[in-house]
Amino acid sequence: MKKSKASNLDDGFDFISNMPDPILQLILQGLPTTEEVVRTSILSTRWRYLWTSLPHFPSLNIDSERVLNHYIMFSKKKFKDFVSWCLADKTRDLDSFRLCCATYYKVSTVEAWIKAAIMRKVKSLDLTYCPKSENEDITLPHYVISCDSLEVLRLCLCRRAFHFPADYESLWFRALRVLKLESVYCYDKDLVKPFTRFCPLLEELTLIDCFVKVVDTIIVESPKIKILVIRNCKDMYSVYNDLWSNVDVSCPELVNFEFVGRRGEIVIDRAASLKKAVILPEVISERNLSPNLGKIFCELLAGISHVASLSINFYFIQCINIARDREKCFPASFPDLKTLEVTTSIDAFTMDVLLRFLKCSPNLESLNLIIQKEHLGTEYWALDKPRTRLIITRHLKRVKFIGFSGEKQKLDIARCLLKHETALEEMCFSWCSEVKYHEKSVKMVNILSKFCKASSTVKLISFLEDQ
Amino acid sequence: MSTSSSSSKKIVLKSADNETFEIDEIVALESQAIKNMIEDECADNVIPLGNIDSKTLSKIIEYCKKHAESPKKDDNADIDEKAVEDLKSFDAEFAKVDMPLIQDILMAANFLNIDNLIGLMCRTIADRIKGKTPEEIRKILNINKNDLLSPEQEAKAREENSWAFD
Repeated sequence: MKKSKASNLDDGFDFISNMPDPILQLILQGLPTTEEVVRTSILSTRWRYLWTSLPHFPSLNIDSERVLNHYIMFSKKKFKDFVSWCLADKTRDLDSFRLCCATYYKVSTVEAWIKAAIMRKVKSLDLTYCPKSENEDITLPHYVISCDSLEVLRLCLCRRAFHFPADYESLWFRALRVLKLESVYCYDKDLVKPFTRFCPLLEELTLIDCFVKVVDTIIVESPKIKILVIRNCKDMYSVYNDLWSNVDVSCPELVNFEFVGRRGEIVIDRAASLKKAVILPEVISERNLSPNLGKIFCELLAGISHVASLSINFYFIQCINIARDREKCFPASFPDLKTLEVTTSIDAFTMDVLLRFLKCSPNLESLNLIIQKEHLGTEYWALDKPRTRLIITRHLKRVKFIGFSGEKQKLDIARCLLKHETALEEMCFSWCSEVKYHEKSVKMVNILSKFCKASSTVKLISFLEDQ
Repeated sequence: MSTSSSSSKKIVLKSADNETFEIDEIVALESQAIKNMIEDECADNVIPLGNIDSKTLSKIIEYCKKHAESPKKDDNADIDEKAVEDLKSFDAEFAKVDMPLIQDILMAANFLNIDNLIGLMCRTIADRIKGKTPEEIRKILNINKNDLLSPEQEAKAREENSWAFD
């Protein structure tokens, strides 16, 4: 703090420290993590005890991975005391409590904290915890289920065996709107059903890497769910099979649907309000592909052909390509489709299916291409064939190449689109690697600027992806 | 700073460096302090603000104008989402100024009692010090060297909540 600073700092007048407590408390409450708030105690004498005078922590955000030195035991004890102290003020409501401590604290300790948070009418709980031993189970405490204030619950249980409490059916989340379950393995019951059946207000359900005990089909049936995400969930079927479960969705209010995982059959009923669908099935071996499965995917598409945004992948395209009765069951039109995102290879058959999509989407504005490196072969899209030119749209406004790194094949596609798409406003290249980004990007723009363009106003944009 | 609508009542604010700003009363009412003055009828046509310079005052008027024009949340339940977004991006742009000016605005907003603006400035300051080391924060906030803790005091503070420090 030398005199070389800006003029009004010369006299060392410290504006902030001269502000009244409530202002400084507002600043403290704007810090994202609880430990940052506590660390302000060493800034100066003015700040020394300021944080302890916070009327309350409206939210607690504590991550033991981040704050704890696992080799210093006294820090573990102090930290425990601190959390207990923060949670102790029962007169104030708590907004949110996020605790990420994996096996670092005993489950009984964590449960005591959860209970304290619930006593303070917490609205949002975000918990990552589990018993130390992998053979130890974990039971959802009944006071969590019967909590009336809880609106948002995220639970990550590190793949420990999970149970519902006894006679759980009588008490259920009355206010819960958002539920995210991650690595929750339920071997003794259908994990999904109780939540969809007994949470009257549930609007958002996310299942990531969960085990659902069903033999046949995961059924998600709920009157209010708007957002449904199912990513890499397994069931009993998958124990004996390299395919995973089927998913049957029946949610009349559904707006966003995302499925990622080993392929199962997906059925979406009553999808009238659906706007965005992300369907990225995966497969281990080619032998699981069949014309029948292809037909099921075509029918799935037909049921959601009114969406505004659709993401599909290579496997999805593969299935459609070999579908039985493809001509009959592929949707005639995607009337409202504005954004199409495709993760794929560059092959004649993927081109064929993609062109089919473009042809059927009269209102498509954005096309996002994620072309996987492993599929960059010598054979690529038959770009300059007259047939291709015939189906090129006249309305595409925006094309984005995601995961770009200057590959020639991708540039060929860019060249073809620039040459034919008359309405193109923007072409974006989102680079995946920082290495020589600047140099490569300049070189690419130089190449692109020489291509012939059907649209005189098209902007070429090059940027580095968020890492 | 005057606007074209001639029918509405005008208020004149005078900065510390004697510059005057004529604004609509509705804009001035964003300040709880001025509102109280007007309601208590202790405001003349010209309100002198002896501790706010013209640079800071014009920023504050810019903020109040925008917020006075925007539909209020309690006006109707389903307020235009676009208006909310618009106000958000205005706030984000508004906060892109250097620390000394942020501090001046914060002091003035505190004096004039403009809650939203106080909140915005405090969030901005929090954003600028988050993830920074104590040394960096002291520099950003221009904390006086004479106010620092002694090495012993600092060690004690660290020890009390050792889990929060590296």
